[in-house]
Amino acid sequence: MIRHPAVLLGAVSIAVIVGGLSFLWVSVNDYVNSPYPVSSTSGNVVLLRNGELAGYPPYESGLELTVIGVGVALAVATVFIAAITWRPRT
Amino acid sequence: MAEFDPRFDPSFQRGFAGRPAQPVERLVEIPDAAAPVAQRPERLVPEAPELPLEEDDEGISLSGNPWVRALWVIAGVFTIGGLVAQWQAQQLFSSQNGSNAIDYYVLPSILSTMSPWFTFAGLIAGVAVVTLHAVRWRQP
Repeated sequence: MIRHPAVLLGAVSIAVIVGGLSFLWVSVNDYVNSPYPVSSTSGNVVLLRNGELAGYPPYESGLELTVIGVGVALAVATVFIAAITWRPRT
Repeated sequence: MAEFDPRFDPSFQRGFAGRPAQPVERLVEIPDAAAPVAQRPERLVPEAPELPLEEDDEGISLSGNPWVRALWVIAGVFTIGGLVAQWQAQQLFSSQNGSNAIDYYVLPSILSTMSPWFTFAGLIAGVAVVTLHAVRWRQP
C-alpha cells in the first residue's frame, strides 16, 4: 500500500521522538540511581535521595535531547507538507 | 518496332509513331469539395473526467485547511513555550534550592537544552504559514 509522504514523515517523526524520550528516560534513571558518596572534597552537590544524602555531579544530557529536537523539527515539517498538499474533499 | 520504357508514357519516348497512350489502369476519384462530408462520430476519444481546475490552478488551498490552523497553533505554542522553558530553566539554575537531583540538575538541563529547539521550530512554523498565505495573497 502506498502511503502519502506526509504520513511516512509523520511516522518517522513520532518514532524519533519516542526513541529520544526512551533514551532520555534511561539516561535520567541512570543518573538519579547512580549517586556518589557524600564527600566534602569531591565538589559534588549533596542532595536527598530516598530520604538519604547523596552526592551528584551536574547532569550532562547526551544525544537524546538532540534526537527529540530532530523529531520535533520533523513533526513540524510533516504538518507543513500536509498543509501544502491538503485539498478539500469534493 | 521501338521498345518503350513501360515506366513512362510512350508518347514522350523516342520512336513514338502516333500510337495512343496507354490507358490508365486505375483512376483516383477526387472528392467534390461541394459534396457533403460524411457525418463524423460524436467523440473520437473517451470523455475526460472533470478536473477541479480552480484547485489545480490555485495550488495550495488555505480555506478550511486544518493543517494551516495546526501550523498557526504550533507556531504560537512552540515559540512561547520555548521562551517560557528557557526562562524557567534560568530560574531553576539561579535559585538552586531543589532538594533532589531531578529539580536541581536534570530539569534545568533538559529545559535549557530543549527550549531552543521548540523556539526555533515554532518560529519556522510561523514563517512557513505566513509564506503559505503570502503565496496565495492576491491584491484586492
